Amino acid sequence: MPRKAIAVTGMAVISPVGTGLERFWNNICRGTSGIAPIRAFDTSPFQVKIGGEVPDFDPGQYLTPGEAARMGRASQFAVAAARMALDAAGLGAPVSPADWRATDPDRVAVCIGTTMGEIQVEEAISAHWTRTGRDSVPGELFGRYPVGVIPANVARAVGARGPNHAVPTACAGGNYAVGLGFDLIHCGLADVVIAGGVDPMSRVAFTGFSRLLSLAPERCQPFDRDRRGLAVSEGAAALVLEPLDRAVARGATVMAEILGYGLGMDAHHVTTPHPEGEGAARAMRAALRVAGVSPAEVDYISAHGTGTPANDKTETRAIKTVFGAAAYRIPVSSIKSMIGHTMGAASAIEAVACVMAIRTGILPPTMNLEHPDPECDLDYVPNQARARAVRVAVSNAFAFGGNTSSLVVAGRG
Amino acid sequence: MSGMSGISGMSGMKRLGEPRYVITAAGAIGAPGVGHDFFAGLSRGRHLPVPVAAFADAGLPVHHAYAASTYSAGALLGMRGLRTLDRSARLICGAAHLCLAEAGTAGGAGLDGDSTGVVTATAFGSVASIAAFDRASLEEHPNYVNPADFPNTTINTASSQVGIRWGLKALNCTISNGFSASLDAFFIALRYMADGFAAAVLVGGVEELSVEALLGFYHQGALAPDGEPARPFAPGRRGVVLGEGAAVLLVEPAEGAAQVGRTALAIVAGFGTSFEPGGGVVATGIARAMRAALDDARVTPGEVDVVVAAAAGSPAGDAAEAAALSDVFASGERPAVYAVKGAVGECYGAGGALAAAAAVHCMREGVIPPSPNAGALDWAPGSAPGSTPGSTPLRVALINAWGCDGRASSLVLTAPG
Repeated sequence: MPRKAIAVTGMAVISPVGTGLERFWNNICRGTSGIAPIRAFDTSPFQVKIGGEVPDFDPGQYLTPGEAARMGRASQFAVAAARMALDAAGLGAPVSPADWRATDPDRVAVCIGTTMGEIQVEEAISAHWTRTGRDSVPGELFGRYPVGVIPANVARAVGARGPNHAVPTACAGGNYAVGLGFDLIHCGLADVVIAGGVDPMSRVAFTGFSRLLSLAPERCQPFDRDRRGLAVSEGAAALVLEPLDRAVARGATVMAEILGYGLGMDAHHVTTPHPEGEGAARAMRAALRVAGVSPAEVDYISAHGTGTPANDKTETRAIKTVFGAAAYRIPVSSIKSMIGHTMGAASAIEAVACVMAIRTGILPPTMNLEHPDPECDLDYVPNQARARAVRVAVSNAFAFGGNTSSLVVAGRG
Repeated sequence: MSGMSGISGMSGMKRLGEPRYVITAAGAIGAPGVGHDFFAGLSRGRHLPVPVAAFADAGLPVHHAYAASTYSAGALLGMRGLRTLDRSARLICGAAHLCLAEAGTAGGAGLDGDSTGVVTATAFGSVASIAAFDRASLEEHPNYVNPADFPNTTINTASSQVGIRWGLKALNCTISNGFSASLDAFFIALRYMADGFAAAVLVGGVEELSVEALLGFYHQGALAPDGEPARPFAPGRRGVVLGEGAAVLLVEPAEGAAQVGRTALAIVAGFGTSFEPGGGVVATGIARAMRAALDDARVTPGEVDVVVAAAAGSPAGDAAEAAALSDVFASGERPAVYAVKGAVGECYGAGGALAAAAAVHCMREGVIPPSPNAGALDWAPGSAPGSTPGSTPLRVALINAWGCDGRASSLVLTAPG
């Protein structure tokens, strides 16, 4: 049975290279870096001092003072991204179920992926706790922490009464959320899905990657021989998904179609990817199968490309496993070279980048790629954006725990 | 593959030629006990919370909870590979072990790891692990923390440990939709199988006791006075009592189970979910989820034999669920209502999985345990609970999960054959 075609009708990005779709896209096509000394917490105990913080996010621009005051930064990002994406989709600015005119609010779903969730709330709790004792922790902070509050806050902010999902599959969270949105439309549970990913800058994540010796000291260099690690970053993205026929009927701009997604599991180790990239290959194959796309039809791969020695080597291997000789013809790039690793937001932001590559015919570059690595020998679009017509793009995201995922995005027709 | 009915969740699953998904094994750990003892323990009429060592010096007047105090991960799983697993991971791995043993696949034998996936739910993850990692870093120095503890700060680690331990490679997903998370995990697992990602999925939920969660519930004024049992639906109820536990159920297409000779315990027949943006526990939201699940299962309210409720002793929350039950079930067709949280406590995201495991037990044994600690109920059950095992053929069970965040989900299980 043919699958229901699913349209992306609106998108929004909050990133270390700026807030807003145009700003983000122009900056990554120019190779702009969003990596700078971290201001969110004291980096003096750490050797590495850099990461990617969103420079221009003003909650007051998107949230009422009351909303902003009762939410952590993850929810603020998610609500802001959702509102920008709905506006871009031409669905207005609903704040309650009654505001959804042509859509049944019971059929508006929210799916948000994340790694650390409202981790800055936890970090504030721990700071109070260690500095002035457990009893000094403001009680209301505890209720703001559970990860489920993020999509709940989004749904409250836009009056959505449909399925409401928090998908904490770590650094693949964005792809899992978009995939779930795809399924919710397919099985007839939703007409509009706000899908995306979010993570705020996290001291806990920074500490952990620091202790795993996985942090890039000065810049993130995916696929470079001398790559030293990732840059911890923050950000969010939201995509509005709708059945294609419904989107066309209401006169929406169809920015791209989600053809399918795929999942896999390394079942190898909690922090180390499978040496042969088994779960990564499984996810890519599953995504191509669901999308009904052959490897030869793929024009661009948005890599997970964290810049860690292990990921970039195994991801390259997995791409070759799935695409065979064609792997050498398909451009592969990692925008993490510019914005760092925005954790659960990363694959949502990269899904947006794939849609933009399709719409503009420009491939974002892998910056800081100066020394070829014999084990990373694909075309990584080094250091400069490239004009290239893209019809089908694959976006990879692999997570701690071995949870792997791929998304297939295509232009219309 | 796509159902067209407006309010259906698993719609399409029951259409001609499409696979029916069945539960073929269930493992559970909680305050009533571990594995068989958990299920046997449900039939006790009275369940009391126990003192929790970690709560003793939390500075709060609440020291009791429904701890899974008889559970020893080492005794069940062996010591190998346990060292870096936190409480959540130990609980969910224990429940997975029990489930796999019941499925005749202990140690992974008889289960194809390449085509088996894992979808588990948790509302809080291991918040204790996250906080301990962060506080150690702040109090000592970032270089003091053990890098091996870092993975426990990401919420998907417990689920991933199940996949790693048994080599289950088809997929692995964690879902954190508040208190309805593990019923939603069933829906997601069925979608993943429909997408062809897996031929079988371990579906479950896990939640651990933590001082952090205790503080959160306490500050919201949600807890019953210390030492009081959870009294769902009881007129004098004064709040919830925290619990911990995990349940894992093996879900697979009926044909697949038959091929390998695994007996279907229940059919996963319908799912419904709702969100109320106004917040709080809303009767209309719970009713909307229940109706959607019944509609998805093509079951009428009068056909429901037992409701496994989510009521946990919250004055307002239980009243909302009672109102939803009264709304969905006309007076002449009221099913028995079993409030399992009187036995297991409030296990947040794991509640739905524990309730589903309990429902499977009820259907298998033909018995509805008495709602614990309930006394006279706000909601009058339609049939007498606590009947003789085997005397009550239970063909349709409706399971509820809801929370104060506005989410509600319901799942319908039906008897096979």
